[in-house]
Amino acid sequence: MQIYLPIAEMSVNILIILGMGAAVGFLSGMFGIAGGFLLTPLLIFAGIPPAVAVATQVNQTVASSVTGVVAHWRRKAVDFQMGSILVAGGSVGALVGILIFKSVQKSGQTDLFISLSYVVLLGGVGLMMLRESVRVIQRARKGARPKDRQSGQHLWIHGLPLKMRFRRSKLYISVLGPLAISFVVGILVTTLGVGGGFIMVPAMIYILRMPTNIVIGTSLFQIIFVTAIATVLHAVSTKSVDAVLAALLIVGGVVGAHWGAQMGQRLRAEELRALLGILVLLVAIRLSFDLVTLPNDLYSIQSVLHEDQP
Amino acid sequence: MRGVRWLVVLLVLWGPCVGERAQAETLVADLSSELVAITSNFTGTELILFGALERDPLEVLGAIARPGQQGATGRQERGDVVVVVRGPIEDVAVRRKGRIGLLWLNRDKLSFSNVPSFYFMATTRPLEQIAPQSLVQRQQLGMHNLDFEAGADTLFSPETVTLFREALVRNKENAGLYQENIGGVRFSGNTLFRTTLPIPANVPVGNYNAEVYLIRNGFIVSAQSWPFFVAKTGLERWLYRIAHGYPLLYGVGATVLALMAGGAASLVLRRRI
Repeated sequence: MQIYLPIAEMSVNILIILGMGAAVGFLSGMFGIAGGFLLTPLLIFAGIPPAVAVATQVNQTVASSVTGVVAHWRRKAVDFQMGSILVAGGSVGALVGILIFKSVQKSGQTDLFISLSYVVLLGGVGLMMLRESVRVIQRARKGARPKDRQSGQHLWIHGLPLKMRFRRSKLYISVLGPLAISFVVGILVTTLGVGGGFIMVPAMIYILRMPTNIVIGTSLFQIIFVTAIATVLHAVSTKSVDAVLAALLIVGGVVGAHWGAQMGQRLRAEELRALLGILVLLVAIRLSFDLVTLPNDLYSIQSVLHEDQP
Repeated sequence: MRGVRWLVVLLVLWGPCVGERAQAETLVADLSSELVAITSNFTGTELILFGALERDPLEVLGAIARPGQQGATGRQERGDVVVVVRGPIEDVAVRRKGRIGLLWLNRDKLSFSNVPSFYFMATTRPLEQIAPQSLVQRQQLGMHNLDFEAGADTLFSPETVTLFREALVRNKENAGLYQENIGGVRFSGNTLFRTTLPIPANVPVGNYNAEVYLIRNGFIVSAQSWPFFVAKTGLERWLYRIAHGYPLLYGVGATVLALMAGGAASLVLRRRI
């Protein structure tokens, strides 16, 4: 069953797209991640033009993070004050990201830029996840308890000026730290089509030292706003947001996430993280394979239509 | 449907006989449709181009009177038909990958203008048996004889430009946007011919032109062209227009829909993550 995507200007199999959305939704439900960093490469593997894949994925992430935040909101596990600071930094980052994306597009290196960024990002994140979970599993086998959060320690980031009190997070830190982190993640949102939770969450725990129980809710809260802004930025400047593709991914994602959440409760956290780490590394290897092997055709073409469409 | 089509052909055939006196060597043709509508379930389609050679009524009567000779000289008298379809003209950037360190990345770029976004040719016989090379090149018959203009600022040698030009045609061919069908124009009897024009799923939208040439003894003795259109319709057209005409509205709309979809999903599923 085929469906025509009006912005990508191609016909795709509706079941493949729904299936991809469901598969990544399943993982996102299981691991509690938005999954954009898996879905964007998958869409590109499926032949969707990279710009459309990135822009549409940003749009899909809006929906999946809204679904995720509601549960945290009910539990009051969202620091709105910190979230607002992160939204501010993320929005500026998203704007810078779209400028970078446009200039990369102009130079004709979009494919290389996206593949290379993903290889670095996924390779790094995958290795970290794998190392961390292997260490935890080994420690659990030896019978030792994992170490608690070291709240007394201070990093250089806590010595910066412009300090602010965050009641919900029980923190008194400079706003420059959260602004800088969310700025960098904001750039990733518009250039790579990720929500950025997989960077934001560890950064909030290990660098900002926020309490773990409100980190995910706050991260999701800021992702909603930053991806919403990023969707509008992409719609205006790259005109690559495909609403039909986004709708299919959202539907598939919701169904998949539902099953994933049920499945996730039956598996242990460290094992889940090791699985996800392996998965992320596989995608990185697949992407880097394309970069280093001899292409089928050295030449590629890109069309610029003269007249506007009727 | 088929009956109507043949009725049209017959009317077209008959019409000129009533009016001005028909020339011995003209052709008439028509397309099965003037609009290719891209809908949500569009997976490509086919147009049928059909036509007839109009012949001098006296000559036809002569042929009927001497049926024995018709078979032997039929093709020579009839000539060959070449059908060419061109899509909207576009500029195309051709990029060549090169190796830097471990990575393959786009290094050289050459732009061509005046490139048909879509090209299709169907003939009754191989071109070299129909027309001399001079005619083939002048009329740009066949995907390898299309005359794109290379960017004026190019620093590449003519040989390299040829490589890029061939790569463009090869990429278009692989995408199904350049096709040839030698022998694809079929005659039924001596005057009626038809061919199918393949319209792939990734067809560019815009104004198209189908040209029909009647070639006899290496000369074009008759030529006609029919425009047709490829356009998105319904929801696809509407979305595309908003996305390109009112991008801010489109972006806000897509965002609001995603927000609502996400909210609705959380209400329905009550996810616990």
